[in-house]
Amino acid sequence: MKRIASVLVVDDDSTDLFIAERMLSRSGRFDAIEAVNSGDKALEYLERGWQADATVAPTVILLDINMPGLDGFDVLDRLRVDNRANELSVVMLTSSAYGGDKNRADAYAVVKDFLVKPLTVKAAELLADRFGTEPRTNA
Amino acid sequence: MSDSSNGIPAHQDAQWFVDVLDAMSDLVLVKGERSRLLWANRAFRDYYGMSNAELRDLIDGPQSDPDDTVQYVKDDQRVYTTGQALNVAAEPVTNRRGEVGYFHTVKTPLFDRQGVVARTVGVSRVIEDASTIAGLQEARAASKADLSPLRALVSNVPLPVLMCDARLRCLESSQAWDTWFQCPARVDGAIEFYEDLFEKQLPIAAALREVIARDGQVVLSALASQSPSGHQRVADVTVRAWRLASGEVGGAVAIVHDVTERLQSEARALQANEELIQFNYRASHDLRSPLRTALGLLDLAGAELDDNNLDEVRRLHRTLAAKLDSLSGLVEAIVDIARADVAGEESKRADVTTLVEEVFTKHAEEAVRAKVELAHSINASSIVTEGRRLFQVLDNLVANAIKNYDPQEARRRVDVVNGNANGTVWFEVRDNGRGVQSERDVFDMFVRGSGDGAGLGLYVVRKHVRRLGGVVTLTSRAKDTVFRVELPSDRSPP
Repeated sequence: MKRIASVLVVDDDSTDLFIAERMLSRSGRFDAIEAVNSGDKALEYLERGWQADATVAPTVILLDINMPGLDGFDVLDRLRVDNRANELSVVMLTSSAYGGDKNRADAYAVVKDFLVKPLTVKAAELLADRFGTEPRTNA
Repeated sequence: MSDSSNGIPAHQDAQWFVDVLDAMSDLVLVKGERSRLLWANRAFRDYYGMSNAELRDLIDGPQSDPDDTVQYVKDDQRVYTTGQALNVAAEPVTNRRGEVGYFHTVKTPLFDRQGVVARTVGVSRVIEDASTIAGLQEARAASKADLSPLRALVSNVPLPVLMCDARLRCLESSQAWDTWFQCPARVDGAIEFYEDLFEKQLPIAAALREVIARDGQVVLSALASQSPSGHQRVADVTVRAWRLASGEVGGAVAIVHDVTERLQSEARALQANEELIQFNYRASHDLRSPLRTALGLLDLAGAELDDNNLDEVRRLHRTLAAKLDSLSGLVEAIVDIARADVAGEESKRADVTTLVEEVFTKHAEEAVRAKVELAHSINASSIVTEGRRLFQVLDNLVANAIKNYDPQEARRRVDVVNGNANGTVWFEVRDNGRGVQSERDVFDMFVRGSGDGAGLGLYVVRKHVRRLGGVVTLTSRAKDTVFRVELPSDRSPP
């Protein structure tokens, strides 16, 4: 059974969450977009997805770094030791322009890209090209 | 009884020996540890005009030239350390009338059973030849170990300085030394040993001995020293030998450089730097973050406008305005930090009730919106402090308490209670809101106790409270949250 293009956005800032969600949905190339506002909730959501039906579990996560509770790196640490996350792609989406954060994130195999906010229309399209469904043809 | 083989009649006792020594015209003197007098024969006692009871435990008679005494002590020290007799061809000794006579002296060590020098015995024979005496007087005038210039220098140095002789007797100290140790090195001319007076506070006796032995200098860095009032302080101490006019080492001087304040300043500077680095990282994130969000909203609004989704554009516009408002709040908080760090106003008597009511008035609208009841119970109505800082402290704590209300709570309240105890005035800001969720120190920079603030409010509170000489604590994190501030009740300038 084909996996669906499902994205999970994790950010403690509700506006950033809204922007990312809206940008991705405008692309029309993700089957499911889910948004959670903390690292803990992201792990809970993944767990539920993996247990219920692996084919609809998120394939890509847009992950913020600076969050209260479990931050982005804490989430990456948990994913690193979980085999079920092997096929997952994480794209860091952060306002941090601190080089140290990028280097640190690059060290995780699961991290495929490091984007600095905001998620623009253009950046959302590039994400859709990599992780979304095929674009609809204007036939 | 004694062995007849040594030639002493078996029936004689100690008095027999004393009588023999007392019959001698030479001055005979026995000294113990630290050059203290133990016993002198009649000739010596007559010369000094003192009984054995009066001489016992002295270093020298009160009529003696202290600089001559330094030389005697120095000579004793040599006999003690080398274990060999010392022949002093001529030494000046002052009699009971203050007249200086010249003596040929031999100082000999007396060993204990372990072969360690336990005492010295000095035998001095007066020099009577007039021409020899004239020559000695001339030589003494020319090369006398006149320590008065060195003593005068030591006593006037504006640093804690101590001058010791070879036996670590405290010959002279600067006023700064006496103040630093709260103990003068000399009282009424009495000379004490370093170990007895100062070693506990500043353990440098070993270093003093070392520099005397090798005519050198050492610098002891960052020595911990406890002041008489119990304060910990830190000193760099320079210890170096000084010389007599003869070129011999006469003793050592210790110069204390109190580096407590410097080290404290360095620690403060390091902490400030650490805070600045942290602040830089977090502030750049927290300032950039809403700016990037605002750019994102604009980008999205542009796309929605292209699609003619005007309702969506209006919604984004409202969100953008709120975001910029919150950014403005953050900038204000950063400005508050800068203000908290600058010198404040003069402390004045402030009316606590008025101050708390001003805070309540400022937040009245928010309180109504959040359905939070504000109340106060002021038991200590007066405090002498910087009113503006105290206002900001209470302002931040009350604002936080209102903001963190619990939506599930039917009767939401924020109470400010105060009282006084033991020279302090305390304030408690209590609320029955959501409590403090963070496990971290909520007074640290950028730690959000709860809610979506910048995480700087409590940091600013602590800065102000510290500036006011007080402490702030979070005494309850639970739903009934209590922040307690304790301030000196009178912080008027001394």
